[in-house]
Amino acid sequence: MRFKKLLIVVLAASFGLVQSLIAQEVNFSHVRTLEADFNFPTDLCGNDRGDVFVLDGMNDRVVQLKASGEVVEIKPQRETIYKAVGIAWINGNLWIADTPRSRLLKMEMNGRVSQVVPLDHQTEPVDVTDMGDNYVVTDRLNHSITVLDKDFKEKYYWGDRGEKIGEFINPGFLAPGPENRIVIGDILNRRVVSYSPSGRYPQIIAKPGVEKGQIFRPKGIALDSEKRIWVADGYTGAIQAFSISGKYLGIATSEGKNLALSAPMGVYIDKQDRLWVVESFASKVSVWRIK
Amino acid sequence: MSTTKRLVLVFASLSLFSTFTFGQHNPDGRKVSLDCVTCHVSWHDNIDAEKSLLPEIDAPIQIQGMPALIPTAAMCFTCHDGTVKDSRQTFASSNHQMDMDVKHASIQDLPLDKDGKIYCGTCHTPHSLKPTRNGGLAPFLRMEKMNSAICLDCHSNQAKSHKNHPIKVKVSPDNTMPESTFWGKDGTMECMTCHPIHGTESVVGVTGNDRSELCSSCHETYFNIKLTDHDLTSSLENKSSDIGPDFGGHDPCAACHVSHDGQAEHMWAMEIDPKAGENGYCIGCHSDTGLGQEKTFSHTGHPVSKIKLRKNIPALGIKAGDKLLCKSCHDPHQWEFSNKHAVNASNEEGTEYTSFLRLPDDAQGQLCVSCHSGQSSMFNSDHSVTREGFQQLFRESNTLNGQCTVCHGAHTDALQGSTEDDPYTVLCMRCHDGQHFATSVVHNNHPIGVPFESKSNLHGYRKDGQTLLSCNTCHDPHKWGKTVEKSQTVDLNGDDRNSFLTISNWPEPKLCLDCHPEQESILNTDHDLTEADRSACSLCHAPHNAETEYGILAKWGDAPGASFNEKHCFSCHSEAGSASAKLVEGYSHPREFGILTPPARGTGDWLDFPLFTEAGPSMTVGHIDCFTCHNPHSWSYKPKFQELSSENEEGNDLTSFLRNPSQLTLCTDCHGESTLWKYNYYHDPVKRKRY
Repeated sequence: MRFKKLLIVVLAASFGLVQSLIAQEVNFSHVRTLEADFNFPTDLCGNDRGDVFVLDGMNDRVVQLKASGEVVEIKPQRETIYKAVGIAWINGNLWIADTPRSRLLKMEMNGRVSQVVPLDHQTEPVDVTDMGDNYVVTDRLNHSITVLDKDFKEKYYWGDRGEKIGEFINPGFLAPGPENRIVIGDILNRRVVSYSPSGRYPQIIAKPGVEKGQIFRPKGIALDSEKRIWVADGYTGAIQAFSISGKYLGIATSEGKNLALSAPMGVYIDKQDRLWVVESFASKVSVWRIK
Repeated sequence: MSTTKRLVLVFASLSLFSTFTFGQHNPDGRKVSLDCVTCHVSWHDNIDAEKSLLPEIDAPIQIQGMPALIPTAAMCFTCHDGTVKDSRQTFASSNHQMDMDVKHASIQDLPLDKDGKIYCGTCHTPHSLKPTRNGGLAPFLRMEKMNSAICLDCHSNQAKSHKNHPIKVKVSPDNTMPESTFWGKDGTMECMTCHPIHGTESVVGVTGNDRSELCSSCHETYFNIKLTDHDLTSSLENKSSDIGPDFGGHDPCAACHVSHDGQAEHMWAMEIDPKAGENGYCIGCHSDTGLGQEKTFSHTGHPVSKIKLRKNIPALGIKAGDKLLCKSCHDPHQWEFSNKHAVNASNEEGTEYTSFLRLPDDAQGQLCVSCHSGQSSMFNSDHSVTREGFQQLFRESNTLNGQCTVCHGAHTDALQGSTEDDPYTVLCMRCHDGQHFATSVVHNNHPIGVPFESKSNLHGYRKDGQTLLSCNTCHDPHKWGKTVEKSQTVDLNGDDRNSFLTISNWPEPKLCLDCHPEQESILNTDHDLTEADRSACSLCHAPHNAETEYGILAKWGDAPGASFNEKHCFSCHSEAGSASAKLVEGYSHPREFGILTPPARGTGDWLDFPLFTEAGPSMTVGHIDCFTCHNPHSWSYKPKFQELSSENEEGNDLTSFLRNPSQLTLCTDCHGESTLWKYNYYHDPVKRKRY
């Protein structure tokens, strides 16, 4: 009996090793690169019309890349979003995680800030997304996740600073995942984890490391049409795909080489399965078609 | 255990080997915590090159040229991109940005990137403790921020000497630096005071054409230089020089000063002649070929450099022992001493109130008397420019002069610059010329331009190695009178007690006797007519505007006598005169007979038997006059009889102011044996005719 248990453990441990051997390469083709005088942009999002919004916080603005190809600058009116980090399109509205000022902002297309949601606990929101009727916010100061209801009342939060499962060291970008899970990049724990909407049942999707199938600085997270979870690595520059169960699905390559972007941060995948990624250090946005 | 089981165990062990032996070690081989590889990613062991995603940018950092497994700037950015901390402003800042060359700095034990350039880790390390902890340094610096230690580790040369802006100096609390400015202890200046390195706002004034704006934050008063001739961006706009920067910008400070690595002290931007010393900063431009050649410094003006001040001059900021320099009198940053009159345009001609003077040469002569305090008594005298006469002169000539500059030009010495032999006379005669002032000296003056011997080494003017007599021999225009200190601001007729005399001439005629000591014998004789305001000399002699040029004899009105000597003597020796007790009844000598003087005869000196014509002394042929026989300055030709035994002592043939004994006269040439009779009764018209 004891031998059988040991065998199970060994086989389970070997599983990952075997898995890495069969990892796939996912070919990306470069669509275009956008440089709209960005200054260390951080995140981007898109709407159903095919417009993409880039948060260019150091320039105190959002840059709208319209489906038509037009580039429009949206400057906040009577407000500032200087050094804001996260941006999301939620229920037909543009939301900005105004990191240094501990609030969420709803911004209209003309720059008017139509709603300001102050956050408790001195929260420094890095990113925001929706989960059902709720809003989920990552907090770089408290190393936790905050959930707000539809009226922006705080419902609950979870997490504390630490390395254990259920803890975070600087949760960053997040995205709603398959199976009603929320996927979060736990930056300095060098892992990607998923939780239930209530913050329970954590599961590691990507483990620490600098090899394929591992993550070192998880940044932008996005789902493609095949429900693959694409994660950008802010240090290696790689874009890798994982399943919600933690299976490594492949790495983005182009012309036979792994993609190695310049400090990639926020990613967004549009309806055409094109991956938009902010290359912050290079102050540009690149667009890749996932084949 | 069966063979199959053993094989399975071996396989499983081998499969897990890579997983369980995967660890991390530092470059010394010591196993380190997993936390370390959060940044030190290269410390991972056994990374499969085939699977590794490590980018090539993980090329080794160098310390003194040797590879070091230290994270790169890209690693820093993975956290400082806003997701953990936000240092994007720092990455975006052009202040001390990454990729800077280190050719101007001497790096000491600090890491550089793979290309030998600076990066985040050159100055910062996360291993520096938090500033709240003992030994902690904010913001995670490798060295202390205070005392500019972190800066000076590389830029050690940029704080040395006065070729660089000083640090660790106290700054006025009135400065207008931004609130976020970094100050050292007690508000002192540090490198980061001006160079905020990663300031949240773009730094004004460290580079570019607006450096003066930064300077003005602490040196606001220096900005009175704007639009003056020393604002080279204004006065020399569109000009350039091979000794300094271009002047086309809007940066008046930077035209002359650079914050670091100046050509000379005072952070001087231009090349100067080191031999010129401290004045080189001025002469560099104010030379024949310099930028300020229109105001060339003249070495004939007020002496500089060679003079050491013997006392503190607080008004000019001079301490005892300091050398007198250009800057002693001039403040190059301030056109007008108290900024009362803001200059409106460059190239404005200076006055005694402007001209970058530290103090004005006004009615109180403030600038000059700071050192020459002894001359200030002049300001209440007839020589004061506040007198209406001067003011009228200035109005007519459309000029303005200060108390001192009316006569003195600090850089264009009116005296030495004169083309005349006697510059003092030229200067004095500008006013005492008979046209502008009542005190003119245009007629029959004491001779000038002659050599003289003075007991007191009186001044004169130098010519051909000689000191020749001039106005300044007898007069000091700065002091009305030594015996009567209080001067007046009216046109006084001076006397021996004042009159700007260099030596008081009353009660003893010391000034006259300084050069004419042989005439001292007149004192206490019947000819010593010293009065309350007049010395023994002045009754008979007038140094200016005299009746005669010879002897500068004073005026005598309608006194009898045929010659000026007779008139002169008879003005007293007459019935109405002060010497009525000694009337001269007979005195004329036939003038139709010319008499040869001793020099003409080859028998002696003219004074042995001086002869005269109507015009004055004659060196050849003349006639006998009072002075032929009498020397009014000496009671006796014999020294032992020169002192009178009593007042009004009766004279005899040894005294009586006689010049010589009778045997030395020429009388026997004509009068033969009757000479003695005629000599003895010369003034007796009856007796002298007996023979």
